[in-house]
Amino acid sequence: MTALDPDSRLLLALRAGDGRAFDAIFDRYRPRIFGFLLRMTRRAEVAEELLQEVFLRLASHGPRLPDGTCLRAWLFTVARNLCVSWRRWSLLDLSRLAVLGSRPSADVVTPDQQTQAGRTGQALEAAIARLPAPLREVLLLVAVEGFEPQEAAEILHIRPDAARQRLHRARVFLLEQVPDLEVDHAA
Amino acid sequence: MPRDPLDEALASLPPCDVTDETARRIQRRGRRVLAREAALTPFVSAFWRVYGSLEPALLVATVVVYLGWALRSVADLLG
Repeated sequence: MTALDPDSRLLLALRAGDGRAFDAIFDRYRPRIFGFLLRMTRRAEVAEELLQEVFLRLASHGPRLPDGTCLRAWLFTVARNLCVSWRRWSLLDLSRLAVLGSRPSADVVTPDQQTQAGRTGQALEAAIARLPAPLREVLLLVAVEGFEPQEAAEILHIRPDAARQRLHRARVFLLEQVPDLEVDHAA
Repeated sequence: MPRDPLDEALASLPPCDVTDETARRIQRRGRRVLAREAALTPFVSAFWRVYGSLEPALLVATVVVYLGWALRSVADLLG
């Protein structure tokens, strides 16, 4: 008999309606999901709203999630789908901003401000923010969150070779933007 | 084997988080929803069990009714 991994144990407890399992999942994945949402939306208040929606969906679907569900992939799939919906709905606002030639307002909290990352981290965060969304999401899932390109492709509903191609383009873009890359261990 | 500097830099990006107050608020709402859903789940499962067992019979009944209607229409047209 094989021992269940922590996520499977938590999922089992969540399906039984165990609130402590929900808390454990929330504590475990909240910073990672929030980081993903913040880097995708670049707005702290939006990322908070979407984070809440992700975990409310976990609470409402959790008791009925099938056996063998990969919790981490499920959470990031929901987060990514919410980002896509948010982007679609916010197109009108963004087009207004473009027409007015203005920039996002001062209430935009960028991930580099949030995390107070080191110099390399800030340059990297700025470069990530300039990436087009389809490249950014695959880069965040694979390079930051540690998903395999195959898993990222499933989350993004694209073919694995398309995910690899996007990842490659994202990496080339980042290396162009941050040529003097030094790993900031202090961050 | 040494890791690629870009991979290492990306993997070492510090995590972001919401404030404790926001986290508690989301957690409270989540637990409320979970408690409600967990209470409903036995009824929902029972519904799907019953529906699942009836589904083949319902499908056959639908096909039979539709074929009957189609045959009758053809008979009416020919007659």
